[in-house]
Amino acid sequence: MTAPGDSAPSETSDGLRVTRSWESDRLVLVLRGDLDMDTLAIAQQEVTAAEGQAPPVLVLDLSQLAFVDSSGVRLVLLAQQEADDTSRRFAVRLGHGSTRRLFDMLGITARLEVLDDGEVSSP
Amino acid sequence: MATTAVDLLSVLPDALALTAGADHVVEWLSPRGEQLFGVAVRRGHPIRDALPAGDLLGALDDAFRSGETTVVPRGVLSSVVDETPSGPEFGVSCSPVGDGPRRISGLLVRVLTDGPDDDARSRARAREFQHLTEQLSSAATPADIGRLTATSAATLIGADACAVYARAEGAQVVESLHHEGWPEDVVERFRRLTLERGRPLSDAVLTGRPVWLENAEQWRSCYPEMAPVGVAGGHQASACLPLRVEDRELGAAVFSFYRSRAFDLAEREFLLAVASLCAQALDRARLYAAEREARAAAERERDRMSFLARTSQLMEAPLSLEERLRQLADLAVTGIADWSAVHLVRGSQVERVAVAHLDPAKVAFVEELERRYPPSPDAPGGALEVARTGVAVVMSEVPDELLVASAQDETHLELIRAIGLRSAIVVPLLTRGRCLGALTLVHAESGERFTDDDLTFVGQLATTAALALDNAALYERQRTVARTLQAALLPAELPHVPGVQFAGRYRPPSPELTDVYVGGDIYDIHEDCERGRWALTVADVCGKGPQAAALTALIRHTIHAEVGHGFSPAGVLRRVNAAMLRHCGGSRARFATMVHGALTVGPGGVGVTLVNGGHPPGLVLRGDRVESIVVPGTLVGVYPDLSLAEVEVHLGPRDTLLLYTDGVTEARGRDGFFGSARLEAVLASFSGESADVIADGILAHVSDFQDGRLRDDVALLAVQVEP
Repeated sequence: MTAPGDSAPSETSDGLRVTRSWESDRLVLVLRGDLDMDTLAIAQQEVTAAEGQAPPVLVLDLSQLAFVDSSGVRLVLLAQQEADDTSRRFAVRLGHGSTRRLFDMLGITARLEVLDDGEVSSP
Repeated sequence: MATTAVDLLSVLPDALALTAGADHVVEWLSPRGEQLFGVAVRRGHPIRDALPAGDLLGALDDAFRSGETTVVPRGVLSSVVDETPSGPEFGVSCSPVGDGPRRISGLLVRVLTDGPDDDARSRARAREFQHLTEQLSSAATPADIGRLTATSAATLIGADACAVYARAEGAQVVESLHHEGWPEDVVERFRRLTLERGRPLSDAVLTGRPVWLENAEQWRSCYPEMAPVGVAGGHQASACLPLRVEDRELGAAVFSFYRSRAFDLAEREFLLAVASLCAQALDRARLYAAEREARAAAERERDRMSFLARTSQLMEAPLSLEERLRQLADLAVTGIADWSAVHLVRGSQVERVAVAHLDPAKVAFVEELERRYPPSPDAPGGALEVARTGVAVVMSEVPDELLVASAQDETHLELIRAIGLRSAIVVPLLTRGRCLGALTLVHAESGERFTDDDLTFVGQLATTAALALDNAALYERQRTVARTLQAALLPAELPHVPGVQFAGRYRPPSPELTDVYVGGDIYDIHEDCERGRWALTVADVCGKGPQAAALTALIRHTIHAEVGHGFSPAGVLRRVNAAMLRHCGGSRARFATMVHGALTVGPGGVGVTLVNGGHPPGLVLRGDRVESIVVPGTLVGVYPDLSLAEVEVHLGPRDTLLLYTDGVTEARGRDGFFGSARLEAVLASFSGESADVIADGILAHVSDFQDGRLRDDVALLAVQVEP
């Protein structure tokens, strides 16, 4: 599951941890902790760094977050725009909790490639 | 060969020199040889030129010629010293060196150890030496060490006069630490000496080797220029001994004697040992002084750092500007000055906002003085001038002429003089090229002085204060702009609709949790007069700051325009979406969520056609039941096509529709999130209350939930049908 180039989790004072790993041709960023105004900059840096590796598919896994607000939505929308502009694939995992409810409420779940819908959700 | 010989020689303790050839050119000189021969014998120079003809030279010549070791006993040399100065007064042996008996290349000169006669003397000296050691070890300052050397050591040696000189590191002069036994005029003349080769004391300091002058004749032959001084007051012999520890040249000691003196081996070694003792004591005193100075400097620096830190804290304290500056002035007189004052530039005036002294009576005196004699704006060198020019002034001594110049009459002058200003420093409060005022620090009764070195620290202090002043002013301006802007984004008052009560609320985040804030949350009600309906909006633009505010304004004005054009709520939202996409140039960095509705009043109550662009669902309170109005829809400002649905909501008498932003549901407190369930429960608890009570009550709950500190802004709109 992990491969060379995987990064150690980077942590902010507000407790956002980001791990980067390859799953075949997917570069997956798993975000844990809180994603809000205070931690958006860190998350954005991680995403930009991941985009710099030009992965065929970039996956943002938000299903492990304890909290996400519109900052997280902004992160996803910008990553999607970047993928559109560079003709690469971008997908998210939203899980089945509050993150998913937020994206549903915003009416954008249908406009994203959501992996959990086609995957067996992990316990 | 030579290298090997030198290596070997360096382990022979009695080896003095290795010479080459018939003129005895000095190839190598041991440290002991350097000390015992003094400056006369130098490496690379023939001994024949250095010493007058005599026993030593004779012995050297004999040994070189014969290939046999020759000896000059101590007694022989000292017996002839008065008539023909012939060199060192200690016994030496001269042994030929070379490849064989017939091939002599040079001589090894070794010192003869003293015989049993000297034992008693050396034991006595050892005791005296021990005593001197103890005395010197308790001497703390260079002056004490100089005095002890010039008195105790001189007595020990039997010298009639002594002078001890210290050399500041690398200086080309030496200064007298103590003189003993010299005529007063000589002392005055030689208090400070410039180092110059060709003078015995200078030679000793500069070469690190002693100068032995055993009698007046040697004085005259070796130092003809200095001889009159050397033998002034009847002195005959002198020993000039360098004071050195490792490579640190600390100065020199001169011992002079009324009688010619043969400095024999034991005496030379004793004098050198005394000099070494003095040198070590001086070195220790100097290190001690340097350490003390370094510690004092470090402590001063630490005090100043902590002062700066306290200043910074003070400048961030929630106090008015004037109060902060007053406290800064008060702080300054607790350690760095006797007096302090702060002046501020206000328009074309310079105004003193603070003056401080530990004694309030003195402050009162100065205030009274300034009241009676208002300072002239043209007074030179003062705070007013510095505040105007932005150029710092350091007066290590406040000149009396300055007081005279600033005095308005005799009485005034007397009063100013009575303050006792001694030294002052005035620095401008500069920021972004502007001078905001001046900080004045004055030393008076403490007698301390400001120097140019203090400019750095006082300048830092002024910079800290100036930055705080500037920030405070900027912050105040920004807050004004923010308040004005925020006010422009919200309706000044809500329209009156017969049979319907509206309550709109907006709360910005707590100031201590955010920077100056222009939020993205709005509520609005706009009347469509043509169609007899009212447009309700609650929107939340992602982000904050001027860009968010601009987008918020765009949303509000677009709604007003499109409602006026008669579009349905979904149509209005689509046009808002298009306007945002144009505005943001296709960037998805900004988006908004909004709930928007068209309200019409009918006979049985109120109808609202609601549309929702990704916004938290509205709630309807009917009696004590709460319904959530979930209307699916896409957020606004990102995608060109929106999926939207319109939903009809009917409100009967006393029913309340509540629209809100996520600042309510996503409020975080110690118990987690406020959440929609809690909101519904709170709303239900206001059953039967008016729209205003409900809106205020919900705000209060949200605020309490976060201990009064809102992290995000909150907008609320309550619509209630009258009974």
